Formats: sequence, C-alpha cells, structure tokens
Amino acid sequence: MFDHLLLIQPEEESIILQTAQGNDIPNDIAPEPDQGAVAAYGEIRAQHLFWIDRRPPCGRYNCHGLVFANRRTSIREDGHVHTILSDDGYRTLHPGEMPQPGDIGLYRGAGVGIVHSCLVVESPPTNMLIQVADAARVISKWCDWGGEAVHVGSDVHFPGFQCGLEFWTDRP
Amino acid sequence: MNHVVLVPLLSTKFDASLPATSNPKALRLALLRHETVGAIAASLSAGSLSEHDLRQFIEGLVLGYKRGQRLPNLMALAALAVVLEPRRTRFSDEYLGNLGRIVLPEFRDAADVARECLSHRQRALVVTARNYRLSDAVPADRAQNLGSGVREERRVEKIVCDAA
Repeated sequence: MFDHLLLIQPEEESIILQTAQGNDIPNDIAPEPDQGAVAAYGEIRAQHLFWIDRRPPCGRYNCHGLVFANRRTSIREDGHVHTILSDDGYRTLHPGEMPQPGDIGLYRGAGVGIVHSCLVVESPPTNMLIQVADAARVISKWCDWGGEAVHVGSDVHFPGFQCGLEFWTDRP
Repeated sequence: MNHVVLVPLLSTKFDASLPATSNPKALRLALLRHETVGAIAASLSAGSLSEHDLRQFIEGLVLGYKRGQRLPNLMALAALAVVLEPRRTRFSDEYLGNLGRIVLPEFRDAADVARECLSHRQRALVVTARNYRLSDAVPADRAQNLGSGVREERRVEKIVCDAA
C-alpha cells in the first residue's frame, strides 16, 4: 500500500527562517488546499457569524507562519514556537495585564500542546465592568489550508478537547 | 462502491468537524473521540467492515493525489490510522508503517497522525509487556484458570521480543 507514493521524491520547499538569536527554525511551504478543504473551511466559517474575512483559503503558511514568519511559510512543531518565544524575548502577560495590538495568543489544548496561534489587533473593550483578555480582537489563519479572519479571541472551537488561550508579548 | 460506514469520511462536514490544527497529537485525540471514527472501528471489530473494504477505499483516496495540492479527503486517511492503531494485523502494520513513511507535503497531516499512532502503539506494547512480567509471576496452573488474558499478554510479549 502507498508503494508508488514512497518512491516519489517530495518537492518540499522551505525558506531560511531564524530567530533573533540566529537559531534556525525548520519550516515548509504548505501545498494549496483542494476543493474539499475550501468547502470545509466554508462550513467552519459559517459557524462563526462575527468573523471578518481577510483572506480566502490558501496554502503556504499556517497560523504560526502568519504570527512568526509574516505569511511566508508554515511552522509546525511546538518546540520551534517555544524557541522563537524564548529567542525573541517574549513573556507571558502579568496577572491583570491586558493584551495589546501586536501581542500574540497561543491556544493550548489539554495534553496536546499548542493547537493554534493568533496576533492581537485590538485590545479587549474597556466599556465592560471587567476586562476579559479573551475578548481581544485577533487575526489568525485557520490551519495551513484555511482562510484568514479577524475574530474575538474566544470565538473559536476545537472539537475533541478543551482549549485555553494565553497571551504573550515582547513589550518590556 | 465504498462501504456505507466509510462514506461520511468523504464529506466536507467530516473535515469541518475536526479541529483545524496541524498538531498531530490534537488531531489523533479529536479523531479518537469522533463519532464517525468510533462507528468505523465498531464495524471493523464486528466484522461488518473488512480490511479488504478499507484497502479498496484507501486506494480510491490515493488516486486523488496531485502534486502541489493537499490530498482531497486527507483526514480520512488520518481517521483510518486512528481506527487501525489498536489492531495487530498485517494490514494495519502495513497501513500505519507506510503512511507514516510518506514524506510528501500533500499527505502531511495524515502521515503525522500515522506516526503519532505508531508511537502510541509502541508505548501501549511496552505497558502490556510490563504487565506481562507481573502476570508471569502467577503460577502456571493458576494462569490457566485466569483464562485467555494472560495467554494474550504472553503472545504480546513474544511480538515485542520478535520486534526487538
């Protein structure tokens, strides 16, 4: 089974990507989505009425590629994300500190690590009795085959497991 | 024609019902808890779905390969990796082993899930082998009274030894 596929030489592409400390970050250019994936993204998108579309489904980059590589490539492994966070001087927010535009968010699933990432584009609204970090407006790309959308941090759904959103910043 | 229990894997609804992440641990866990995947596993165990049906289905999926484009219904391959993970048959070994060895970017998510399944399978074998050592301490005549459980674990240890 799959015998002929094992013989095909992959045309995997990647770019030179390094952290601020000069450590290499392995990456790959994702293939373009097929029609089925585009339709599946349409179904996901239809479940989130308040998302604002920025870009239709495309390949090349995933959520981490949007956040850490300016949409040029896909970054896969948690370890590489942690290397970037460490080398680029990111820290988690202090208790009570609210995310600011330019900060990043990581969605972490119980027992499975990082499942998604996003970039903050708007701080949580202040006209509330309590400011909730998850109410920050963010931009993210849905996997390496989906589209890009602006949405509230908590307006995502990961079927199959619990997921929490944590914010990181490179501000002093 | 595909077996009726496999058809939902080809729907966009199935792809849309999975977490949109490249994290293989998360995908495996979500698939493990997915209703469609559970139904396929149950059919396979009950014998109403055969490995021959699966092979035909998989061969049909792979025909959709096109360089530079994500394989259509890629997550169906990942789902079958999760279904076959606990089975110890030549077919499941071949499926997981070969899918896990594919390095084509068009197959990435499914190949990653297959590797994750193989890793879980290996860990499960080690745990079973450890349990076997405990059960081995039971005298032979008592082990016979304990029924097939102990004999099964002995068989598993033989597999582990053979693999080593």
